[in-house]
Amino acid sequence: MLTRLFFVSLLVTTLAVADDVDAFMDGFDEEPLSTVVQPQKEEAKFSLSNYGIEGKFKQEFAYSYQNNAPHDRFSSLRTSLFLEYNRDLWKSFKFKINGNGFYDLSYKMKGEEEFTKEELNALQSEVELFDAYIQGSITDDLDIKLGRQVIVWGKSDTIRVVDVLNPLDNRRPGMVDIEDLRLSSAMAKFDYYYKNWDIAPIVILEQREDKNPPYGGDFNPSPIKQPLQKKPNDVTYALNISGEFTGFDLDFYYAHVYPNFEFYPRTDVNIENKIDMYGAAIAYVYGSLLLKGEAAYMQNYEFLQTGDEKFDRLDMLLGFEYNGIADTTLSLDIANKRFVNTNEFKKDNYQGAFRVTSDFKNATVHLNYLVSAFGDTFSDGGYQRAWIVYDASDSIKTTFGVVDYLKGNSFFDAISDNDMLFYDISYSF
Amino acid sequence: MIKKICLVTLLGFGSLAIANEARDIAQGVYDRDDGKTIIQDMKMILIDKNSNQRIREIKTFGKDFGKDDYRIMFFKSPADVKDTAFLTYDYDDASKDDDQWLYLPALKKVKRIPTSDKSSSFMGSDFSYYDMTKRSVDDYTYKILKHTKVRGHDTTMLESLPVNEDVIEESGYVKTIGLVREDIDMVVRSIGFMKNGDRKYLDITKMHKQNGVWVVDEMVMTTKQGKATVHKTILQFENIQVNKPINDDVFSTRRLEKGL
Repeated sequence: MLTRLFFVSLLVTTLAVADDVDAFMDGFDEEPLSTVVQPQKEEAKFSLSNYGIEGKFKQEFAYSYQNNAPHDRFSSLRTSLFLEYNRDLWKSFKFKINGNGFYDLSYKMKGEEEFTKEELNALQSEVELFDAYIQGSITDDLDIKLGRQVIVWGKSDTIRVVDVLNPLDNRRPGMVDIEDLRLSSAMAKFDYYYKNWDIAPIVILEQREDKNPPYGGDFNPSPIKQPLQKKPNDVTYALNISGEFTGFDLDFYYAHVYPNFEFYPRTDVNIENKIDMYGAAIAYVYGSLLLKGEAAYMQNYEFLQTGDEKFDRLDMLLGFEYNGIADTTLSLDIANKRFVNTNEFKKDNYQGAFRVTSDFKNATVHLNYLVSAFGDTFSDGGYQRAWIVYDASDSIKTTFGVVDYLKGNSFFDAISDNDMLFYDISYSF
Repeated sequence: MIKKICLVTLLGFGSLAIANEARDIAQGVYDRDDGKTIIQDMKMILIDKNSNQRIREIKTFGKDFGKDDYRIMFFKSPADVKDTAFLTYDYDDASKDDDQWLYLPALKKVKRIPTSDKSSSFMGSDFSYYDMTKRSVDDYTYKILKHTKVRGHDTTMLESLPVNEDVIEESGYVKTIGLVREDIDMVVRSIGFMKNGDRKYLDITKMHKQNGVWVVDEMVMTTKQGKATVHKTILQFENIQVNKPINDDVFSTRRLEKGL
């Protein structure tokens, strides 16, 4: 009897499970996918992409909280067009050229006479050639990339320690992410591959100055015009040896170049004098953690007020990136930069950057937050920026955000009223 | 008493035999020949609950290096992700972290990336990184629920339960029911029961045999809350080439930066 009861109960349980499972199985769509997928629009007869041309049209708005005319209220109404042309040449060789042009209507609306000539020249309109290079393989082990290009060194995405080759666009500090920060220069880069190593000598053929906030602009608090320094137009050189191994990447760098500065320019450094940089960087993976380290020893800095006397600087960075939270990346980088053989400029200068990015709604909504601060206790000022990106479609993207400048040293105190709301909409084609 | 002992023993051995049979099926799925190399064009169609579509086109190369699996993916469209490329060395040894690099044209550098949380969405799709990798057979216990037919083919319905909380944490699934085609040891449908109560329905809608290997032409993953569809992803594969020789140099950061 007990046996019979047991089997009946087992049968009932099995049938109940089967019913549950069958109910779940109803969740499969039997509708053919051809009716679910919208037919793609037929390729237009005339399409720029058919000729290898792609691009992006962008409209930006920025609203400043500050009360001082003429930089109050709408501080930017910039319309820009980016165009790129790619072409495959012979064998593995490719050619790429791209550039950007913009016009900011806010200067016309507020009255051009309200602004300095320097600001209008720098920020009202511009046509800029970015990349223009030929890239290909000379032999199985040797590549060449020749022309205007950006070469990025280092492992950090937020702070530059060994990344010394390209000049920078600092005109709107805090508003520009690192990917748009570097300006292309004409260079010849050779890559020779041997086992796990890539040995890359580089010849820098074009010397360009950083683009700094113009005199009279809202990010140039100086009441007097700074004399412009110009880098001599000669040839400089650099070398990168990089290795990739299971679990880590290792890089060594050498550069004989003119100095450049991120975020706010050091106007006391003689940028017409070349420095030597010896650097190294490592990226080490530990599960969902990427640990990063960079070090650079820079020799032969000159200061305008100390003549031909040379000074050395040691920059070091430690950081990590964490991908262990679903659809989220956290990163923290802390750097120390200091002149080592002088009391006059010996003060430690720390920089820290913390970034969070998180994707939602099947990666159509991206939330971002970045805070970057300077000083021994990160109290010398900096900025924080929060922004949300919404992919309205494959080609239309909108961004809305806020940037808040943090008081600290005299530079940040002077620009701390420049807090801004910004919005842009772009169409890629 | 003897009768009762016999019954318990019989039931015990019977359950064990059924459990072993279920595990053998799972092992068969894991061991199935999926080719030494594969080259394919992948179209990823993302469809939201309002039927809005986004499309990503990707060229992928894959190769077995012994027990390890190397893959490289090049994004061809849409415009804002074009030229992005992703390289991964997926090691069979579970104690060894995968090596992964990403080339982002905006950053203009090859960047090593740490392993993502496996339950993260793969490029905004309904597939997670976990869904895109082979599941370890030992991470689950198995039970045969029944035998049924899918599109006219005999299948075994297999329930898989994670052996511990770590597997649930890693995968995001508390239970999976898979329908394994009996003639080719291939999962053709599955339901993933997620921690948050959602269910993910995987359906292999088209496949064919090439050079002795069964390959997928089309599959769809649908995320549902109750009976309502939240989001759907269709993967369509074209120009599939299985077991075609691929030079080892393709799976390098040099190639990642140079692109297709």
